[in-house]
Amino acid sequence: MWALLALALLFAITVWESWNAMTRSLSATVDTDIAGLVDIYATSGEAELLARMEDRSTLVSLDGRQARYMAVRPDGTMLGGNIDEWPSLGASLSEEGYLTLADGTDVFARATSLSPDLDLMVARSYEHDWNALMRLVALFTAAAGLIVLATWLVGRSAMQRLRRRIDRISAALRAAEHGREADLPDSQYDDEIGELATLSSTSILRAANLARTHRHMSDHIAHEIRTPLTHLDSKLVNTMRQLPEGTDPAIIDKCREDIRGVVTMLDSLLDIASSEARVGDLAGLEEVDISSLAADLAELYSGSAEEEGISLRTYIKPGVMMMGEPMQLTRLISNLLDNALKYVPRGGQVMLSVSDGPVIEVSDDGPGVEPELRPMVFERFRAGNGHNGKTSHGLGLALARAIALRHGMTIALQDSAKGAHFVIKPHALWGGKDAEA
Amino acid sequence: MKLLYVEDNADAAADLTALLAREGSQVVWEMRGTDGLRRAAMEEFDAIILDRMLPDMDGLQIVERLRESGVDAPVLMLSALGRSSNRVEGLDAGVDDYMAKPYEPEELQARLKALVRRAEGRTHSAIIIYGQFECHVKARTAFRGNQHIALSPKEFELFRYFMENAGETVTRDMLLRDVWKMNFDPQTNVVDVNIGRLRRKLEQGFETPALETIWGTGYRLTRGE
Repeated sequence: MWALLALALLFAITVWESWNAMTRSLSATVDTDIAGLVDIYATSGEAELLARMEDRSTLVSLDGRQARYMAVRPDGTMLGGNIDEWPSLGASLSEEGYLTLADGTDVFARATSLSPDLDLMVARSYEHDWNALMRLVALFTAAAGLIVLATWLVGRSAMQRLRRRIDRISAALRAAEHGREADLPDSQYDDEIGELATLSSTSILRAANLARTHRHMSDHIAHEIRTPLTHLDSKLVNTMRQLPEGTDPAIIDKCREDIRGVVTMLDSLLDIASSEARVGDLAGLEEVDISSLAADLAELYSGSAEEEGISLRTYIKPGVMMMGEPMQLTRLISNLLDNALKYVPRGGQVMLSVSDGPVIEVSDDGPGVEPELRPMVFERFRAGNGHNGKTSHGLGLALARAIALRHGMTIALQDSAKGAHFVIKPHALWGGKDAEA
Repeated sequence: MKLLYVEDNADAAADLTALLAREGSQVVWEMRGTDGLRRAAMEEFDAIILDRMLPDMDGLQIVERLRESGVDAPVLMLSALGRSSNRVEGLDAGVDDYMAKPYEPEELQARLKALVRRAEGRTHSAIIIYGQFECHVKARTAFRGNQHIALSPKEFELFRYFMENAGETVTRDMLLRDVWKMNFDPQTNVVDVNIGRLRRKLEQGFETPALETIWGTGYRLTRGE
């Protein structure tokens, strides 16, 4: 923009200077001619002046400027020359200027008074000078246009090159975010974008490596713990088969139950770690009808609630959609319902609601959570005893929180007059309106 | 049943082979994935039991290679990776069923039988009849001894599943997976309660039981006679 303005200013100055130079040149030519004629008039008289004017009128100048003259009496009587009508220049003041003659010729002229009874006008046409100036303007405009075009093309090409490089970095980051294999951006250029590319590649590789290591570690932990437990369980099953008739297998059953408890706890811990490691990761998410999913779960749990003497009510707005992993979201709501049914006593109520946002709420009128314990309910191994003696490892709510975070949501235990009120809603960082930890 | 079992842990392999042999199945054991692939290509098996973490290749890769080479025997993946996400990965990769270790022997057998039944292509007609029970699939109605039984949509799905697996043990995991589309076990006894409701409806007005509880494993539909 500034370059264009500078170019326009340069253009204006050049044209102005050329015009002034032309004016000075015409003025000098006309003044020289007048000086010569004045000299002739002074030495040879009026008749010689008119004869010389006649001669000079027929000459064609090399610079293309045609000479025009006019000699008149102060009363307007025409004495000689090739101008038909006296233009508006004052001879007594020796005025000069640009004007158009009666025959349409544009000239630069000066009028002067040679004697009290003789006025003289000398003029030069300047069509060639004008054409030269116009050629200069045209050339300048063309050159300026070419410079602007070349600058635009070079700028555009440079911008496209930069955009392509930034696009490659964005594409690599986007691919990594969606869990696809990223085509790492090149970092061969020693500039800011090259540095950005290098840093992006390093981050992508480090994130991929961390994810891979995390996954391998989780798989190996699971494998190394489950395999011996499986073998132990098989031995217990074989022992149970060989028990003498009438022997109570309760101890063996308890052992097997404990093995399953360890395995369940291990899975929950690994699920929590896996979900936490994927916070903000969009890979593997699909569009889920959370209303339908919640309604199915409510139906599944209705019998258990009824059996416990608990009223399970729903307020589910149909057709609420969100991006998520259906099984993980099922587990999230299921864990909250498990939690409610565990603590709400007979005769109590549990409400499951889904509304736009999406906002998922599970509330009950059970004993609730003491205010000082509320900040800790989502921590691992925060187990309480249910009304019917049910116990757990205290990982259900920790897993619910990890799943919510993995889906860009927050889960909070709201203050309520009675019972517990869990609210899951989008996190501000991922497009939600509210930011709640 | 003739079964191929690919497992790198010799103890685990011995335990399961002994268990299946006791039930009359013939088990061919391979320790490495590549050997398992070769064996599956050479012989016909009713089903393949596959460990997931093998030293030479991932069990999911083996399933892919099996399908590519035209082996269509049903595959049950028996893995130490038993989290919900692991099951989803397995089923997405084309595994027919996925069980986590440690397993309940009776449940493993029930699920193997179900797999083989499904692979044998026992398609069900519009009306399934088993003993006193009738399931009109298209009309979505249930009868016992010509008496109509009013069921909710989900109860009908449950009843239909039992009818399609009539006489066989149906495990809680199978019900959660196939009827409720869940691959984890909720803490609440939702399956037992829903079965209890179905049972009450199927048995109301009849003296003989409709569903047997197979302790620690699941349920079985009786003939109701």
